[in-house]
Amino acid sequence: MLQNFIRGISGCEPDWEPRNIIESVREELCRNVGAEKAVIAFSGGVDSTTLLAIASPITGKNLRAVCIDSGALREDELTEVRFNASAAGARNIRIVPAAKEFQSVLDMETDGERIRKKFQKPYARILMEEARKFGAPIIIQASLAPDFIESGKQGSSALIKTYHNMVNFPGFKRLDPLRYFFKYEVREFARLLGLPASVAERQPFPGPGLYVRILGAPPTLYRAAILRWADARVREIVRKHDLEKNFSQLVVALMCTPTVGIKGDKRVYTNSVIYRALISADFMTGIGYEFPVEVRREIRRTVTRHPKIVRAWPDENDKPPATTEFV
Amino acid sequence: MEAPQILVVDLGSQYTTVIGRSIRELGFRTAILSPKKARDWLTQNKARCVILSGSDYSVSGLKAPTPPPEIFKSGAPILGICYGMQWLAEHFGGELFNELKNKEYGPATALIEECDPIFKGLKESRPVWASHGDSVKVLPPAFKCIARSAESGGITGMANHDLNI
Repeated sequence: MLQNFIRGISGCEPDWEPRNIIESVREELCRNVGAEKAVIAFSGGVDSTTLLAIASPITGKNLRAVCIDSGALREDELTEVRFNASAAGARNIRIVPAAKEFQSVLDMETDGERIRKKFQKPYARILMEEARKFGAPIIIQASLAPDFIESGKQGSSALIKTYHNMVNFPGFKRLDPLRYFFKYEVREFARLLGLPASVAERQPFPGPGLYVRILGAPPTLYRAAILRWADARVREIVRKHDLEKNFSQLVVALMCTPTVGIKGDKRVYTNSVIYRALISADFMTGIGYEFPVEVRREIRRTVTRHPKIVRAWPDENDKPPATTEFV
Repeated sequence: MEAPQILVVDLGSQYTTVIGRSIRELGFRTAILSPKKARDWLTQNKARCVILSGSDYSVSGLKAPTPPPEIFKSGAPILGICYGMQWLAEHFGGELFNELKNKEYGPATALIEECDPIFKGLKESRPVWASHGDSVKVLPPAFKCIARSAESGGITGMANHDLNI
């Protein structure tokens, strides 16, 4: 019936031939980059890794993958970044330690939308600086089609962008080779290109990272460190029980509104951890995943061992009314 | 590189990406978007056809997702699946049931009543998987019934060739 509707009734011609599409992306890249140098904003996520894998054979040593460590990355994330870059055939990768700069720009901000907005400036500045250092006139990003769909009131040209990668780079040529594609298509490219499943099936992680998972207090490096530890422990347990395939995204957040607890003999008044996983095909709607009893027990007993964490709650709320992330 | 020809308006069904994957297997690209993003996408792109997905919601419920009216502007063929069909039925003046006897959850049999181009190559009767609470009670004017459920006699397919829906 789909075939009858799409081909017969609507007269569409097949346009999904991923190998040809990858070739045409490569051709376009060749035309736009030529013999110049370029940097690519690299997060280790499925989009930027796939783009790097598409670009590397064309650009070789002329392309530097730039990964910005804002201080909000998870435990072992940089190891994964290096691994993914290598799997994608990167010849040149630079990881920029930038926690101090992001912290100073975020400046004790607690509002999630403002955090995402503030995140854009140092991100752009650092990318441009790295491009300059490398002698590259071109900055490449792995933005996808939905990033380019203008939203807002009809007739208005105002773009509501709180995506960290929708920024401008004055003085540089900006390329978005994946601008026509959607995430489900990019995952197919990843599989076709032979990238490991850890890349093709990788679950999304927000650009501002752990900073948007610190609730009720400014996202300082100190709090990020506590959350980094808790996030890693929860993920370890989830992996150990092989639960990752049951949901689309796992979010571990630090709830900074203090509650009373007992550590040893002492009374403490400090943070808690909330964790949730969403079962969703499209992230438009989703069902809160219900962790098995033994897993919940293991998570709370492990996580509350930290001196600065007294409670750990599973959040099973659906979307709607809740959203995937807390903030 | 051009935009996908097929717009799938995601009204909140867990099967929407399955539709996308199936269409990819047939060799076609899709733009799967929420109603709001679909509306914005349509201001910059033309769809050769539009598919309205199913939904976990009920058309009669509060906050029922609504496809953007822009889908009707270009006259492109529209295929409504499940909630998508029910929404179209109501939009064009039909009536929906929400009675227990018309709910179907599980295997069912669809009987093709009319030789519609969408059924080209299909047998008159085929097993299907039904999962719906609401169903169409009264067809909108100018739509004809093209398929029925063997078990409940309910309307399983409707079409209006002038509107290409």
